[in-house]
Amino acid sequence: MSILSFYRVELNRLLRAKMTWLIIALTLAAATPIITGFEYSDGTQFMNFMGVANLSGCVGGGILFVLLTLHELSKMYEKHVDTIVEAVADPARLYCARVLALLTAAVLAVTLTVVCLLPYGLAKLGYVFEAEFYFSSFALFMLCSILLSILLSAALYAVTRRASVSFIIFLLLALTATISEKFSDNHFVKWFMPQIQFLSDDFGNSMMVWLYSYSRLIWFCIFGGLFTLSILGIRRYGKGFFGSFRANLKHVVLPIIAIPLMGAGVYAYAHQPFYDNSPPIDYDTFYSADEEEPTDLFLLGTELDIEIEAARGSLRGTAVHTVENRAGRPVLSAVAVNTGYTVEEILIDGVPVPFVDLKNDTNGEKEIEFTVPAGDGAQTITIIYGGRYKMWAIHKGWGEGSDGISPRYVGLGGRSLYPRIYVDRAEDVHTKGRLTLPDNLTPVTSGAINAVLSVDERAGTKTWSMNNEGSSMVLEAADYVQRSLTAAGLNIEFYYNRKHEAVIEEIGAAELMEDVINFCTELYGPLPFSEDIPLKLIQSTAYGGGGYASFNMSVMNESTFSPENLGDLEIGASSQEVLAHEIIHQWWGLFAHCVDIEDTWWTDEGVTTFTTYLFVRDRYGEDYANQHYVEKWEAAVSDMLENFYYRNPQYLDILPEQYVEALEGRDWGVQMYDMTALMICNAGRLIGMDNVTEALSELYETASSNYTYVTFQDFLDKTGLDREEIAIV
Amino acid sequence: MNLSIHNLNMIYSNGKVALNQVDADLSSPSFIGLLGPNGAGKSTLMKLLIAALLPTEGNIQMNGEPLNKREAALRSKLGYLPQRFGLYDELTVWQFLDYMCALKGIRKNRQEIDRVIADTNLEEKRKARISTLSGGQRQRVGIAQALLGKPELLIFDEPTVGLDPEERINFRNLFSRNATDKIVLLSTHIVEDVQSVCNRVIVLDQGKILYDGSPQGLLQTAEGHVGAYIEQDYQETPAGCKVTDRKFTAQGVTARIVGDALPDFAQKTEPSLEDAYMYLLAQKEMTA
Repeated sequence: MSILSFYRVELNRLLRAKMTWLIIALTLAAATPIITGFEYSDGTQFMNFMGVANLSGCVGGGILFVLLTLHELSKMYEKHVDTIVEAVADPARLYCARVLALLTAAVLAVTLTVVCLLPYGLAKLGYVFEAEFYFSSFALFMLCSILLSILLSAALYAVTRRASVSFIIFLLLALTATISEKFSDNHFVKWFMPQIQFLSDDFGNSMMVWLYSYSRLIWFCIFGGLFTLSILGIRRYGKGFFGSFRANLKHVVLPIIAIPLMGAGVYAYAHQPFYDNSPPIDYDTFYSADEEEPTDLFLLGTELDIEIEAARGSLRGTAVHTVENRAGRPVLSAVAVNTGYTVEEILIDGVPVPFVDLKNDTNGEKEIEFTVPAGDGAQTITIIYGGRYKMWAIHKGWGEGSDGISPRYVGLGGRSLYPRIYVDRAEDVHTKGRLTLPDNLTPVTSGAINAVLSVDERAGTKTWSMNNEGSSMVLEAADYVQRSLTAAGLNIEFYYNRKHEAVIEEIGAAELMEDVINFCTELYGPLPFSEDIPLKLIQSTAYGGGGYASFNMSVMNESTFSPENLGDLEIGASSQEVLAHEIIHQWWGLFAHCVDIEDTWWTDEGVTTFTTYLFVRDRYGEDYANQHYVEKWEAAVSDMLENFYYRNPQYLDILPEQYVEALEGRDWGVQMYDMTALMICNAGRLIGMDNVTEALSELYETASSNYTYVTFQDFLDKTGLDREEIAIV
Repeated sequence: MNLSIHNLNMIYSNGKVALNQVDADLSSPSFIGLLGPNGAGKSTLMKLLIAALLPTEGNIQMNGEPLNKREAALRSKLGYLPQRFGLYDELTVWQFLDYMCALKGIRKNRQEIDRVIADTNLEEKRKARISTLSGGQRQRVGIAQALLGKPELLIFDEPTVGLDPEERINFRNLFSRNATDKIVLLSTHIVEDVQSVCNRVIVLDQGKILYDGSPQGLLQTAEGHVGAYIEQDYQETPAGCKVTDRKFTAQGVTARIVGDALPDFAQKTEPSLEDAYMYLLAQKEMTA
């Protein structure tokens, strides 16, 4: 009989067992966030629902199905059913069929999970729900983890023939892959519990899907090979492992399949196409990396023509640098470019020149060397390049990083957009050109507003202009809605994802931005943007960290606009106030930083929370602000100070670690937000709010122009107050 | 169907010699009783015949081809009930037999299951979970699964253990009916079972065949070597004899003995197959 015939029989039997349905029910429970109660505090909605469901489903479902696998495989021998069954059925085929039936049961468990969680998911995710990602995430994360766990545990059992030993080895391997420090920064080892830290609601998760599809491919090859090889260990003729192995070797097809399969997995692991080979950052040289050696080359301008192939995660383009070689001799020069790109040709004044790809992956880029001949006046260096974007290896630990090319989001900066040449820069350099994107993506680049130059309906692309006063260019592209605002003399372009439009409109985000920017500009001074070009406020992917500013672009993480964040009463009393808080971070967090190694609670959050209070007081009046802010801070701080463990920290040692972490986390939040804001308020009561804001304004100006940190002592010095005067006891 | 056993040796990894130079030829139709004391090698021989073990030396041929190259063909012709076996407790009797039908590749499974359920008197238990069955009922399920598909080779290792006397007789008759066109190999300690149904007896001891022939032939070897006498108090067993049975009678305890030379006070009697078997073993002991 064929394996498929056995499979039908085994599946039939498996689905008649109560144990199977118990495991399926427990797997469903494990993946239900409302049961596990686990939640990311500041994640996106996808992360809080699908991320959590998948992670707990991977671990819970994986372990449960390993137990079922070992139970099913060992039961036959422990109950001596093998003496009957293996007399009429080939044990190796039966083993394969049984494992196939278990894999099918796992598919059934995940399918039931997906179906049962669907109504809850629809209600929880609301407008961000995406059917395709909902189904594919469960298939990619939860299902694959369970399937891999079954394959591995079955292979272990075939070798050891001991359920307990197999389970222990499985746990060791799963734990090693999940929590070992050695693999903490390596997505490709996370076969059991994927390292999902971010999932985007609005900007797609293609990169994560690609990454884990590849990772799953690696491990299915390796575990599939192991499983195939383990069939040779199926006991026959009353022999032990080695005797059976020898006897089974007559099935030469097994090692012929298994060894190349495992080899392919190892090869795929070693040659993964997503991350480069940059070594860990050397912090001694990292911050001086931009201090380039003088080359006697002067950049006069850069012209770009770039086409992004978002669906393939790649681009191709031409960068034309106009330079002057003022050395009077040929100069060895180089361009730095993303490690995934290939430079196809370099032409100087239209003539191809030899070049060398150094393949020296460092800090997410590599160098291409060539010689610029001696010459008078301007020379054009044309670089034709392209390829699939590679992430800097440093991002292996936490996801994609801010850069990337994917169907619904493109974020490219520096050498990831085009090859940048090492030169002694000249003044008044412009970087401009054309950018072709799929027509669902709207680009936002440094400098002027991007205008549509042409539309190719057949190809489904649009070509846009780019123009930046500077020698670099940063690109953010997504399905953006653009809103033009004016505040504090600045032209502001607010770009947010179309998927988020209803929320943005509902909370009046655009108008609020104008108000906050006017208020803060008056309070602390202007943001360092010129009036000629607009300030671009951009909602960006959750993968990009908190946000960043570059030229006239200020980028905010999408979770800023998530319902969880907008409803976080720790930050503000309403969604609008939370958003106001986030915009105030443009001053405190982006251009001025509050950092103090002595008083670690002194962070941007405290000053920003205090400023939010001022804004709210200005808008809604003293009573409202006191009720929703000052009184809340006082209550939180009082609660913390009266807490037994805060007053007697020596007793923390006897508490379980999870309670200690929860208490410390709560205290840290109270100190960072409530206590700091209250202390600044106390300072205002003593010397007047105007004097406090004046002091903060001066601190902001100094910090933002000199790139220095603002410490608590700086604040005390500037206000002329003593620590004890404003301290809360 | 024909199974030829040539020069079969089986030595386990612990050095125990289970079979030593065993030769036999089994052809259908035949009902073979396999007798021997514990550890004689009966179960080992059966496992070798179903290819659950590989011999250390020698070979078994099925229809002229080496058995180890015809494992799939053997499985399709085999019905096997091991001495020690388990069943899937979560299934009902019918479901388990359906499962075994599928493993055996039996297509008209409903008819076949109904047939073996009727043969093994399990009608009332067909929907009962196996976990609820008694030891005897489980044994019957084991027999039923072996009979599925009317296999050409039926091997039963102690099949009537746990069955009450009536069931034992029923099954003896059932096995007998099944032996009309196939090879039935029955290993048992109960010589009576063999005597009533088998047309051939193989006696194994310490891995060697002591006797291979008809039950009548075995009986003939013991003729004149079986006697009985009224046992006196504390009377010792006559030298060179072995007591095979003791019965309380009106005259006292009647001892039944086998031996090459019977004592004068023993009255010669007709041998039973059990006497013949015991005589065979006693002869070997005495030779040793």
